[in-house]
Amino acid sequence: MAFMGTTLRVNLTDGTIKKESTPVDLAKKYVGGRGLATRLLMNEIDPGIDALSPNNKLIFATGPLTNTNAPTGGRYMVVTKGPLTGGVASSNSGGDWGAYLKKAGYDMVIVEGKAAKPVYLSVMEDEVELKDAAHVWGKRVPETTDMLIAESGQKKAKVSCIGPAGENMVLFASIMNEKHRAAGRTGVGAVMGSKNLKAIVVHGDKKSPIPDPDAFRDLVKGKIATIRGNGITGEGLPKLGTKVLDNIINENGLYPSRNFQDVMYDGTAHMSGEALVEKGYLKRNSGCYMCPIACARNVELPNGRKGEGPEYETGWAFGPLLGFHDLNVICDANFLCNDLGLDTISAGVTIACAMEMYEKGYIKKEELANGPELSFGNTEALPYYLYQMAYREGIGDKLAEGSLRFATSYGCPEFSMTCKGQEIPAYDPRGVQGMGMSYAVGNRGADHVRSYLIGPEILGSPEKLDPQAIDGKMQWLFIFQNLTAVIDSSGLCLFTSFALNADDYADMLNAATGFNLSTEQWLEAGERIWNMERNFNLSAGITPDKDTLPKRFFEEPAQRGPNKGKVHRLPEMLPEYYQIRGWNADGTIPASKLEALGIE
Amino acid sequence: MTIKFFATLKLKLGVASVELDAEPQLSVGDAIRRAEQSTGRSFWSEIFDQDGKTFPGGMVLLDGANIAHLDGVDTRVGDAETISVFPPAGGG
Repeated sequence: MAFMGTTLRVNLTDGTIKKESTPVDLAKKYVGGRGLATRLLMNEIDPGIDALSPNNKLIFATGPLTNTNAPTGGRYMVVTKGPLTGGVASSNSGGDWGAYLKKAGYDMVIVEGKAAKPVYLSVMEDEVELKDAAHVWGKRVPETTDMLIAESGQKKAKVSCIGPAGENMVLFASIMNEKHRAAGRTGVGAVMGSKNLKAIVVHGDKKSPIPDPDAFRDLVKGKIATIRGNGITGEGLPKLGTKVLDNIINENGLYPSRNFQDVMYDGTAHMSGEALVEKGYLKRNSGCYMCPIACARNVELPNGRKGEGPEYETGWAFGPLLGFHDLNVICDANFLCNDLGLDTISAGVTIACAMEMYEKGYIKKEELANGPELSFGNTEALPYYLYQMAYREGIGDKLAEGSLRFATSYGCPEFSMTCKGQEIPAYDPRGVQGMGMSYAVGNRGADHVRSYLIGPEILGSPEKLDPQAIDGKMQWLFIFQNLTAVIDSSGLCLFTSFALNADDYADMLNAATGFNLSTEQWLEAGERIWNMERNFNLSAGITPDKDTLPKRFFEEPAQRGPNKGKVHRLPEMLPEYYQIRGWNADGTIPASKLEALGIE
Repeated sequence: MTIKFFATLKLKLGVASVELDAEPQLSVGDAIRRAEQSTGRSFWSEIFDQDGKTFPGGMVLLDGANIAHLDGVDTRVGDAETISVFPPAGGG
């Protein structure tokens, strides 16, 4: 089957490296990647531990379709206990690194303990060793990447690493691979930094052992054709990237600005995906490993600076959310975060929170120590405070804790736009009831990629739902959460789901693993993964009363646009969601449910 | 009223919008046909399938309200000021 069969276990405390058999027997129940790694994390750590202590473990996990020619078959997941929410953290990344971990011969890397001094892990097929990282500690992501590739002696070696933000344990630090691809959310980079692990360098040329390669190739050809023939994945995303959403979401009246005080932004046309093309900043698009979509933006600014991005979320978090729309500032801030290893969503939302607090008098000017005014519209503030966050300098030391801890420390947590401590992405819950619920009940706090209900509620994919309706929405949420858990765990990109359906994923997983499970069985594996993550969070002390949104979305109606007067209707939907999940009315999971799903 | 074009449609047409005389009884479909005449380019088939429904990822908004939840292309424009037209697009 398409697993390499070997997992690396690296203990940083004593420097030992073991090669273990990948528990492929568990793949029928947990697929791989996100699911399998979370299963191992549940087995191996106490959910109540401090996320930044040596007792935590950090798992880099590929799926069965990683390193295959399935469309987008190159992704990996980083799974750990997260410092931002205190619950399960897992963050997905594209690029090539995941595929190259398998080419080196390994499905997963389980990192334990803490190194006495900075190290990096070199994985060159059979030669696996920990090496001194003193010379790259403190370096930014691009320089670290270049230096470690040079040291490996393999031009095609791939590097997954942290930047200064991870080293300084910024609670929303990312892990970066191929310089521009991010395991961005949930603060996985802070956990890597807490272990004094700077990077993992991988290289090899092994193929994944697929049972019938010819049949698999024929099968995925059809899936690739479906993706290329779809209007979203075949034209919209390649031409304009995810930033095509700026105008769509704004015109639909759910594009948050000024820390979610408004639901539209008047200057959107100046910083949209269309503007990126029209101004000539976009030079070309590019794709991750085996990707037929190629949504990545390769940008060159008038000042000569080049880089990848921005995608939709970053463009919003570093623009309209902060009350400005200068594409140069947005792109430069994106490049800076990639270099420093910062999650752009949490960084932008945290600065937006601080701006609202500053304007309302909660933060005094003296605290800025002659730094730029923390005012909406002040472009100068963005790079300044991003830098301060990454290096924990000045007020940046407090900002580095994320907006909830930051605002709480001033006695005003209501200005933090977070769920379970993680910052909310670029869709205002008042304009899209199902997506708002997705934030509220998310296992890793607010995020948009664990059940992307914007698909049906706004984009009409796979069918159009009224974004303000609530009838039947929780069933959609249930299915999207389960299917996404399967896609994440398989090693494919979520964007394929604009074109492919559950049967398509079942086809490819069966062909790669030889399991021959029904689509329903694969979706049940997704349900199992979701419940397991929830169970981890409950054990970690994240109680069901955290299944909510900031009170702004209940008490401050949208002031304009098609959703004028609307608030979020969570209290009407949450009981139904618990019921559909088969959970108790108080949001806990009955033992009978865990037993029925086979979760030990 | 204003008909606004977005995404790849805007790039293809080379204009962001066209203005039409306000006629409350005009349907959204007729307004889009007039926009085609005004721009000199046919784009109906990039937005709508044979049944006049927008393709997944595509949408037509009447003052921000998706016509899929109104009367589709037969929706009367009434006193609306803006029709926004999007070809299939998506992201995350």
